[in-house]
Amino acid sequence: MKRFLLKSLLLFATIFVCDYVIGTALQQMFFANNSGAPGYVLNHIAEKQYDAYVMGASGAQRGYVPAVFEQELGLSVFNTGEAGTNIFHNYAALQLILQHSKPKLIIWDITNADYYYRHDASKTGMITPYHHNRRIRQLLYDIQPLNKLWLLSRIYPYNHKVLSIVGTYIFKPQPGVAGDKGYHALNEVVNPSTLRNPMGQFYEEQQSASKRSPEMAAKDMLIRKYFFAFIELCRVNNIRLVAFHCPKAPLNELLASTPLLSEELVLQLEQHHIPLYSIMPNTYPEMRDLNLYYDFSHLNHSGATVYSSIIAKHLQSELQDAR
Amino acid sequence: MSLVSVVYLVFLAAVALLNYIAPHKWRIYILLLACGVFYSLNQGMYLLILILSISVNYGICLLWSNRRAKVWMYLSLVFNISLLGFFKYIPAILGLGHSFDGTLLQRMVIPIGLSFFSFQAMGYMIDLYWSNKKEIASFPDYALFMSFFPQLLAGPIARGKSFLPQIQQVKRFEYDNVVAGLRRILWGIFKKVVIAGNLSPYTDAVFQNPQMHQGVTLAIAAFAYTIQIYMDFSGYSDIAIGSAKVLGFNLMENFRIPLFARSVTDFWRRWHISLSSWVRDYVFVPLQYQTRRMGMTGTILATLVTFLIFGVWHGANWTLVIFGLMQGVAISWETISSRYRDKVWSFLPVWLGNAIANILVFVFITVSAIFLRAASLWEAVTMFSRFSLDCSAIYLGSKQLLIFALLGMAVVLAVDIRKGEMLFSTYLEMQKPVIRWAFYILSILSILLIGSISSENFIYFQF
Repeated sequence: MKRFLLKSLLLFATIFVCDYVIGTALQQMFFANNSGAPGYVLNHIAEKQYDAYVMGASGAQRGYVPAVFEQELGLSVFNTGEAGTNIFHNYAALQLILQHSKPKLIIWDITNADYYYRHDASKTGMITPYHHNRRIRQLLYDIQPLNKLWLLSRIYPYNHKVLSIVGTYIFKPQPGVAGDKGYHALNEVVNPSTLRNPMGQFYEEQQSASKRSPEMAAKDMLIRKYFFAFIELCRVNNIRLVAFHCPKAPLNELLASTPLLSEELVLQLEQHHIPLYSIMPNTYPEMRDLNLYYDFSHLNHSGATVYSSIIAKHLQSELQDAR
Repeated sequence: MSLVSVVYLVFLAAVALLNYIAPHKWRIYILLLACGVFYSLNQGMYLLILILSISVNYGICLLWSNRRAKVWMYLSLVFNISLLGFFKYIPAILGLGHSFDGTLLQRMVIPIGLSFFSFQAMGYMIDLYWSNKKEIASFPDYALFMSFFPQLLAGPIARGKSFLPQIQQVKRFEYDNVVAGLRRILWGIFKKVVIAGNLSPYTDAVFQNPQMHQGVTLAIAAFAYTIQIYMDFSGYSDIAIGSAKVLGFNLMENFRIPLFARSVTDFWRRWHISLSSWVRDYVFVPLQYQTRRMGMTGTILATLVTFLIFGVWHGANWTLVIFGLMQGVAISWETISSRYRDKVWSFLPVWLGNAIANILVFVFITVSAIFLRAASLWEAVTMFSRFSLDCSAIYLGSKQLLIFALLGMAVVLAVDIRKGEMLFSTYLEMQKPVIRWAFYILSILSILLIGSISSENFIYFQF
């Protein structure tokens, strides 16, 4: 037993040293990139100041064009959207922004995933490198209590990022990889025949908000804790928060007229006095054209430009009201 | 509690410590308590199903008498098959999807490990019947045999005659045993999180939307799935066998380098050995005996029925019936054509013959595994109908994840080639200390650096 314990201790000590050395090197290389490329968006906004930020997941990243907002609103805008993220990412992004400035406006691309827990909600790869921020660390512990243990490792925050970190560090990113201030244009047009059961997806999404298993309902509480914390953070810092809901490809009348937002979520926004604009193709005929869509739930570049102009008009009136 | 979580490792360490410091007579109760806690943490109230299965099966053992042995054996088979049918097959046959607010049948989920512990119980009963003896294990021994936590969730399916005698052996902390067990666990976690976990997002993306992909993408996804399921299940088996070893128990090996099989028959002697040997001993051999007068036809009939049962064991879905039958047909063909095939192989150099045979078997298993993975016949048919050599739009998902998985796969293949049929821990024991230490350190660092630590569920838990 003694021999076993001694060798175990020696192994742990060796692992600790290797972890420290490799983790420190990865940390240096990761934070050296503040271009705003996907995966490094938070690095960028932790350093650079803008008047307004777009927040959300892939719908935000591909549907909101900062250049359009800058032209129409006269504000500097950065798109912090990252595919596969939710309110946790928005909350972390806002914490990093508030370290250096108070923006005037947040353009929030909202979906049910910001209010209801989904199976991939606990993926925290985008946020873990920022665990040194006290509030972000608490968020990581709330999402996965075992992070208290994992984050003792210096390597773990860069889990799965090693190739991109080292690659980006050695071969500096080409101009344009970071997109247009965080916005990433998609150029193809949806082919409806390749969409698998879009109505099935639609109904599944609609029902997922109304039918919650007891386990999911318990996990919803965590999402909501940060949903309300995000709203509160904007309120106390006097940041104008305006929510938008992006349309799905209008393959039929139902899809063209029904937003995929739960009634409860809409009610919560109302109660917190957050304006919500559901840009549905039946009320915005310019969004009816299928050539504006990349797939069932994303706009292509033409669509994003049209959509961003519509949003900019709403934002103009919102900002005027605020004045 | 996932077997690839820190919680499990802490749990195992605590149980192992208690197991070695407690007086011998208490150990079985400590292990039984640990099994109960482990199952409850995984599936709460479904522990009652496990307790019911143990109690009823043991009750039948107690009522066992040599005069009516056959009746009791059949009663046990009927009970276990009914239990499987009730949870696994009836809801699927009636087309009742799982729903938390539906009827009782819809609210039920399949108790984890049901297929495994039910087969263990049936195997024990059949052994008892065949041995014609009335030597029944004590209730605590039998309960531990049925619920031993390292193999409770997905095997290896233990046999009473090899497991039960180990329970009463006095267990002392043995450095070599514990270290061998921990090496197996580390190797299993590496396979699961570095290879299977990194392949999973890619195979999920393609198999869930086969109509979105075409050509070579579907072939790559099919091959990736075969590797994924091998690494997932053999990784799980390594963790299970390693955990048992840490506690002083030896479980049956479940894999023996299946990618080097020279025929489908050979493959099933190397893949999921505990199940394939179970169906061989308790289904195929009795069936072959019953049909012995029919000669080759009888053997083929027995093979087909055995593999049909083998397929259905995985679940109530037509895809799984086809998966089983494909294996049965291939093995029957190999049985019929063995003489001619041997002649053909004899014309080729041994190394070339082996390489061709390995590739053919791998391709066959990959094709049949599409039925194992596809959620419906429609999905499987869509996959096959879109196969082509079109390389114009290959989808690879996250290339980083694929590179990590390929790196891990290269390590596992290199080790498999070097160690041959030797056990992994024995092979590592033979290496110089510096190589052993490099293995420990690099495995742990790669798990932290490139492992999919959040991938907790194993594919075989669904069966």
